[in-house]
Amino acid sequence: MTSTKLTTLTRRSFLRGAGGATLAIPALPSLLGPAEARAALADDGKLFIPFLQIGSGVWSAKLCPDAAQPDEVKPYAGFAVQRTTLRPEVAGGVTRISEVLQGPSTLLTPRLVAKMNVIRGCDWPKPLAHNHAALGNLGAAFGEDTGDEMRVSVDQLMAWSSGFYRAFEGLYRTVQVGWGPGGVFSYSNPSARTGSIAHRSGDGARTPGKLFDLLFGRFAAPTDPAVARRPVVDLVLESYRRTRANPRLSPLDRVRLDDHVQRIADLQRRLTFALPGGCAMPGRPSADPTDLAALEKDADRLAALYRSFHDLIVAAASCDLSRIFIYTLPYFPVPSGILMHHEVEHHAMERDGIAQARMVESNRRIFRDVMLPLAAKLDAVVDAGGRTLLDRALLLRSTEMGEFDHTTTGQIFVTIGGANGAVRTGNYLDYRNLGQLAVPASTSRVPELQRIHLGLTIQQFWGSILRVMGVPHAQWAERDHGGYGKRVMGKLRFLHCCTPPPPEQFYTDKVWAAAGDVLPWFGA
Amino acid sequence: MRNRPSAFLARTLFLAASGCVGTIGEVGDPPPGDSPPPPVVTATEGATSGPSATPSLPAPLPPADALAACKTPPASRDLPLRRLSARQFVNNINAAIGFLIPAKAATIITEVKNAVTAFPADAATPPDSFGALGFTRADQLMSQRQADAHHEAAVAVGRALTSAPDRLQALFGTCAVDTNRDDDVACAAAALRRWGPRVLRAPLAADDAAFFAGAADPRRGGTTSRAGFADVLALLFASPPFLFHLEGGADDPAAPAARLDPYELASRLSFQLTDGPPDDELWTAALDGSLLVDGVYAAQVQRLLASPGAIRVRDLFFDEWLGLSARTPDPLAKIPFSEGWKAFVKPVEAQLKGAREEMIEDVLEMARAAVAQKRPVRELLTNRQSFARKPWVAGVYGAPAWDGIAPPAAPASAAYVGLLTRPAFTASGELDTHPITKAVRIRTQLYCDPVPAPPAGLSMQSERPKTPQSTRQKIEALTEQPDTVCAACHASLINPLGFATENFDGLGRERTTEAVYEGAALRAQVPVSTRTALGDGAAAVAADLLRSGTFESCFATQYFRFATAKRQEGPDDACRVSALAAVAKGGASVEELIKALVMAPDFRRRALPR
Repeated sequence: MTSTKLTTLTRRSFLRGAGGATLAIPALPSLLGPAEARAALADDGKLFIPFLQIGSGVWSAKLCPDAAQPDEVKPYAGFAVQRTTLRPEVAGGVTRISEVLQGPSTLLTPRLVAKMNVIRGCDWPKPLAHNHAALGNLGAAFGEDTGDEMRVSVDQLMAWSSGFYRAFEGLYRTVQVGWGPGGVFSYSNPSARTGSIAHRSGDGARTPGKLFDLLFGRFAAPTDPAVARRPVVDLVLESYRRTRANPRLSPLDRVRLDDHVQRIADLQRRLTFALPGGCAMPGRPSADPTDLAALEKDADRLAALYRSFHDLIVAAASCDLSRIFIYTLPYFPVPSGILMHHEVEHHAMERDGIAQARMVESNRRIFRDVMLPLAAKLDAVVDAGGRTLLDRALLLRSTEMGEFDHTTTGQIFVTIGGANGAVRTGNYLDYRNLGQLAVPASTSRVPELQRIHLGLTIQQFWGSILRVMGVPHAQWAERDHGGYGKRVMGKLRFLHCCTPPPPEQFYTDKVWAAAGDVLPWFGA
Repeated sequence: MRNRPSAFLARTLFLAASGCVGTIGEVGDPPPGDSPPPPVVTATEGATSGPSATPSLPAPLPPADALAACKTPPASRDLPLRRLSARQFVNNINAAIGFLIPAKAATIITEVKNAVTAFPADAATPPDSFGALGFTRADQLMSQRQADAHHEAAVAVGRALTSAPDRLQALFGTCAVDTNRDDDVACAAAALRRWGPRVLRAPLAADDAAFFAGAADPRRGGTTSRAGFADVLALLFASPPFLFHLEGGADDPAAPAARLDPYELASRLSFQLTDGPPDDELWTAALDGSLLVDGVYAAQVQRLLASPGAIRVRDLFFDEWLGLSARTPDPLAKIPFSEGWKAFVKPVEAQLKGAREEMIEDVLEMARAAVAQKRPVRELLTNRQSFARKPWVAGVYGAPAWDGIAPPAAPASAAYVGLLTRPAFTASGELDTHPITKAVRIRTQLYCDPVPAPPAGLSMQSERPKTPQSTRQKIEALTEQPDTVCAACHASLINPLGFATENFDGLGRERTTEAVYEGAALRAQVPVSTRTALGDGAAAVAADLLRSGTFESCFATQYFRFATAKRQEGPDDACRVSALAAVAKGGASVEELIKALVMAPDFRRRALPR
């Protein structure tokens, strides 16, 4: 039987009240001795917590802060990029970074704002409408032949990288909660990095009760000593090996078996996993919703459901059961019952502004009612060195589309947390080439379509994420550039507006040469 | 085989090049609620070993007269190491419990239901086409969740089957309930030799029986024999032969294909036709080898096709092919969220409870009747009878509720032309009638044409209409503006298929005008039009589908995908699919087409995947 250790919390760990946000788990006593503490220091225990949103098309001006007077401007990749310190407005108990990014001042405190970044100007340099790319794999387009652009998503690169998990001793490499876009793409045999790349149902749960069962259920059940035996999984594993020896199976049959042997082996490891002695197990959520389809029609109920994952996630992170927690979010309908995609996002450019207002409110609720409360809870768990779980974490808002619906240019990313000091925070980072309009003579009647600026590549963004999270470049390197994912460009399109010049005019060799850098001001 | 290869090819190439914008059942059904996210499959699992595989649009099939190559056809390859579907997995466990302890089976199945049905539901896995619907059988991806769930189900079954002395004794004999733990392994081995092959659907060699029995070894812990016997069962149920189709190829690895042995054939046939393992009679035919005799095999096929399991499987096929569960709306669902819809349905709201299920059942009953009466495949499209047993849907048709015995009545209105005008195909469950969704369903499911994804930059700047407009008018304004990339596909290939049934409202009722609401207030009644380039109304679409056998060809293609668990056919499959299409176009019934597939040599051999 193997055991794990708490890598972060010591007996002096405590919960910090954060603006009224208190955590529903007790302080966790540590079992760490000095040697283990040193090991924990070596293994920096970063947490990656993406929030994957379907759709978008919220105009950047509504997501990003005003940056009329940037704090820094510098030449980069052939044009000027800029950084502006986040300076939210506070009024009426609300802290406001932008129309979307706002919340109660008790949660969105100056301390928390200082741990955020808003990132703009990293484009996927080819037109792409619907996709499963919120974790980087932009080959995962709907119904389009993009096979050679398929990549393992960044969460999976982290999950199976010794750079992220130095020595994996947790329960699950990744945990997914909720339901929404399928951004997770892995090899059929991720440990060997072989096989086909496809979306796979990861370990996770749609409801808090099921999440509890997944993470803590086995530890909650009493063991009857009369029947306590070595788990039979070792023999199951052996049965797979015996089957593999069948000479009539084809080589591809054996590949499938080998892939599954790896899964059985992982199951065996988990069945012998012992909850750390100092790990405080939370209670099982009392009520678990069953009619998720009905719930999906109501943004308030959706937000409440997603918030009820938070304590379990914080407890799991505290116990080091996993370090990657993926929130997959469906549409938060505004108003209730509306089909956000066809009835709202498809109308994002209508001049009466009704659709945009609904999209702003929907996105605001996800930030204010889901992402922000989790950040506050993570920031309430402090270790002996004064480091909070949030300090170790990188929360990332990522969406299917950019600032215009059905486009992947102009995507806005929001991060919270410092990835254990690897990320510099507190900034609005604008990587657009503000000196060059994408469409010099736009005829659009919509102001937002009159002044489109393109910027750096999304390959650089995801490469930066992998670098700050410690995944060695060799594990995701491309042949012809230093970023993540295939170097590809395609003729850009902004329908009902205009067609920009060829993408090479914007995504120049200088831009591609920069793709291997950590984004300016992003890395610490 | 398609008789209109040039038309199909033209459509395919146009769609590809234009860049247009653009559960049934009881036991064995996966549980609701924890289904995986929307399906995204980029490669047939295991079909390639490289870092990625390139999906492509389905290749058009060669015309009939160009199939000389089919006289010596390329081998249609089987998928590597197919696994049972979630439904088959549950059925397999329940059937095993049934023959292990028949007297207690119902109780035990109930005891393990939660653990067994926790096996992740399969995702309907479509071909490479935007908006296409696929089959759950084609979800051959394996995941950690499945591995975990399989194991947990096996452990639960092992515990349940040994949870009382009478169960232990029934399975293992008196040696399992005595106080001597030293004979537990031998006791288990003896029992395994009796029923182990049945559980695993294959012979059990002596060393394999000894291996499984080893799980009962007292040295593995515990203080009672019972836990050891539970482990034996858990190991058996968790082993690869239980979850996968372990079909051997030829003994000579260089041979391209090999005949299945009788056990493999029994298993393949049974799961194919009934979604369950071989029953007693089929198992006996495997045991004595007679299943390899053509006449015996044909008799088993005929017998299984008449079984209740086969009816459920056909229901599953029709449901997934036509997107019945996936696309049929619940008219009550939108009421709380739309004042206009609430007002629109108010006069009939009390009748709408269960309407969704009845709309689905209307199509399934029609399909069941077509199968039972051995009607030609094309009548799935053209049958006009109302199979609605409840007043609401029957009332939509203007027909009396069907009693399930007498021949169903046909609607009085000629507007109801068959499948395309059944409420399950026309109802949207809201004021907007969703012509594009209707059209994509027809294009992908009935024509088998791929539809490319909408291009990037789909931003609409339409003005809100100053005068009341029909859904068609709004869609035309959005998608058919001259010289736009949208119009390239929508104007000719998508919208007409949906506009053709705009004479049906959101509840599937025939109409001549469309009610336009502003809030809860009826603002106007706007005339609707069903005239398109194909002609007038759904009848024109049906005629286009029937012309040259497009409908039958597509049906054959869809059934081939369902039967082989392939999300789409590959070039090597062209001859098999063409042969099936020829059967369908020759006037064969659904059952005859199924028989043609399972009687073919390809079905009875294993062609090694590559």
